[in-house]
Amino acid sequence: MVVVKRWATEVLTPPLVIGLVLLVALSITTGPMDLPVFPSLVAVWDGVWGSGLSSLQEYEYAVVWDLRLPRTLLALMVGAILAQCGAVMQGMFRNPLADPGIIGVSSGAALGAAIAIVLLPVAVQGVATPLAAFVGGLLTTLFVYSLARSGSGTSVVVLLLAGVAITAFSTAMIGLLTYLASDTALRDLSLWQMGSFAAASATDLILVLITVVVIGTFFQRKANALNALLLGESEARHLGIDVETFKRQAIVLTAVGVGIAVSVSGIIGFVGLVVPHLVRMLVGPDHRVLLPLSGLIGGGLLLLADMGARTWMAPSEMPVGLVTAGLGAPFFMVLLFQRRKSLI
Amino acid sequence: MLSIKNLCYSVSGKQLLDIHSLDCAEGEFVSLLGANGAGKSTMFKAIGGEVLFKGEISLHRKPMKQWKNLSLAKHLGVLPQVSQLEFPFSVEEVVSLGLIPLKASKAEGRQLVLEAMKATDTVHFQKRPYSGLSGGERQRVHLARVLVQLSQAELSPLLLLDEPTSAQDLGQQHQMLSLAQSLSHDRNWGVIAILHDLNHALRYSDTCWLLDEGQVIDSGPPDMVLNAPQVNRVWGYVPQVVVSDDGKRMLL
Repeated sequence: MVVVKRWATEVLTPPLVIGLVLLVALSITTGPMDLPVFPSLVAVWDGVWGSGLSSLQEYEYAVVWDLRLPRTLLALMVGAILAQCGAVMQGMFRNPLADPGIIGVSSGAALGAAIAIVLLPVAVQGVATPLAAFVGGLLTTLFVYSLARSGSGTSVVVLLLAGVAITAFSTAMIGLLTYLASDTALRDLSLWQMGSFAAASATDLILVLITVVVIGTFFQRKANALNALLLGESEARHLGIDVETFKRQAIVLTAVGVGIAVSVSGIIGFVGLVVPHLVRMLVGPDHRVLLPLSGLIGGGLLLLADMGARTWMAPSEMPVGLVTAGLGAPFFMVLLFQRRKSLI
Repeated sequence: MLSIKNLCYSVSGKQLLDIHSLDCAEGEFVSLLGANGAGKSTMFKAIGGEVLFKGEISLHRKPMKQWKNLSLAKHLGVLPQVSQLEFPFSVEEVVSLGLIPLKASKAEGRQLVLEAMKATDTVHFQKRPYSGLSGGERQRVHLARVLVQLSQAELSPLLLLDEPTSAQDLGQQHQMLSLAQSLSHDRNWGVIAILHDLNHALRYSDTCWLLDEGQVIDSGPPDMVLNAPQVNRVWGYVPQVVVSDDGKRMLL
């Protein structure tokens, strides 16, 4: 007899947290420049508490504080946002194959950024590109959502198809823009599209920190609504969930989450698909456990991918989006292969 | 407890429901019968507040719209006909979803889930994946979930069963209907079940609502409602009426 086995959260969480802390330490101590391990970690302590215990030179200290630490934190938080948004969208659509990109946020955001990179003067691009990416993502989601809305609720089929159409349209427009772009703009565009954490600024970090806190707390409080939705919309309604209001909130918040993640780091695909799937295999589909663990593992996995991205080809570095797509796309194909019978 | 008054529901000019007045009392087991397309499921949707209709439906003398979401969830349970679940739930986890509108500690919740699984004969596969179950087993799992959902009702709850016997074998059909009957008779719940087998209605229900093209053409004790001319009118089939050994009327 087949029996469902579940790992207890209390058993899983401690090793995961320890693993995450070790990963962070590893991320701070590795990079193209060789820095002594222990003093690098002490330098983090110094920066927080204002002490002077570390033996690092000033420029080495800057490498830790201005390059590695922001990048590490950004990868962690973006990974957590993407994984949680993925889990929420899959629940909302009742489809474990849904991905934040599927309702058009990623491609809408990419189109916004492409417009800024190609058409706006270089001087304002530092601000304009992330902003345009965020606005593009949000507008796309709102448009797709209003398209899919009807008198009796929201049609998931229309929503998904609209997402597909928007993605095709955005891809075509970006293709068109590449003909107008200068050589530098073209390079910026393709690099941004592949995703990277190299350019983590303090503003980015604050923006992402706020997002991760808001999204994390909101969805944790709505975990039961998501569980009920897995049964179906009318079943959720019978269980006392205000389905329409919740879906509206969830769609706007996932758009904000993915939009901001894309705006600070470009398109990083498949984290939102792979991580919730792995977590479901361990603890089952209950969102009360799925969401926090997805955040934890999503952060860790993206940090790991970023470490790979900046060390494999050192001293030059790969876009982290290439790493996640390179690992995530085959994973997606395996999932499709396993489920192909139920999909037809 | 449930009262329907002047219920009208139409979609693009076509009248799907037109019900003057219907009542279901506490402790009453109602069978809802009619040919396919007569409006049985639509009526459930109207009671569950899923379609916009004219008229008034109230539960315990309170119009549906005035009920708070969570409070209504504790007093109105719907067993759907088919339930797709794309996610890897175990049976126990599906039943536990019935706890969502309730206030219960972990231990209390586990106890409620266990009791509901016992009542629906699903305990022995509680750890199995839901996806591996047969249609009939799934239906019983969902019934357990709905029983959990209604377990903390302050007033008598109303249970709507949409073809609860459709995927069950003979023994399970009677088990399911006996359970529904005991919920209404012993625990004073209101139960309305969409049934297809007229003999199930004759044997288990106290009242029968006969629907035809959105209208109630008759309601009352099933013995009276399900007579040969009316059965012929609704289903276009003339049944043979026989009386069983224990004196019950049956339709062949």
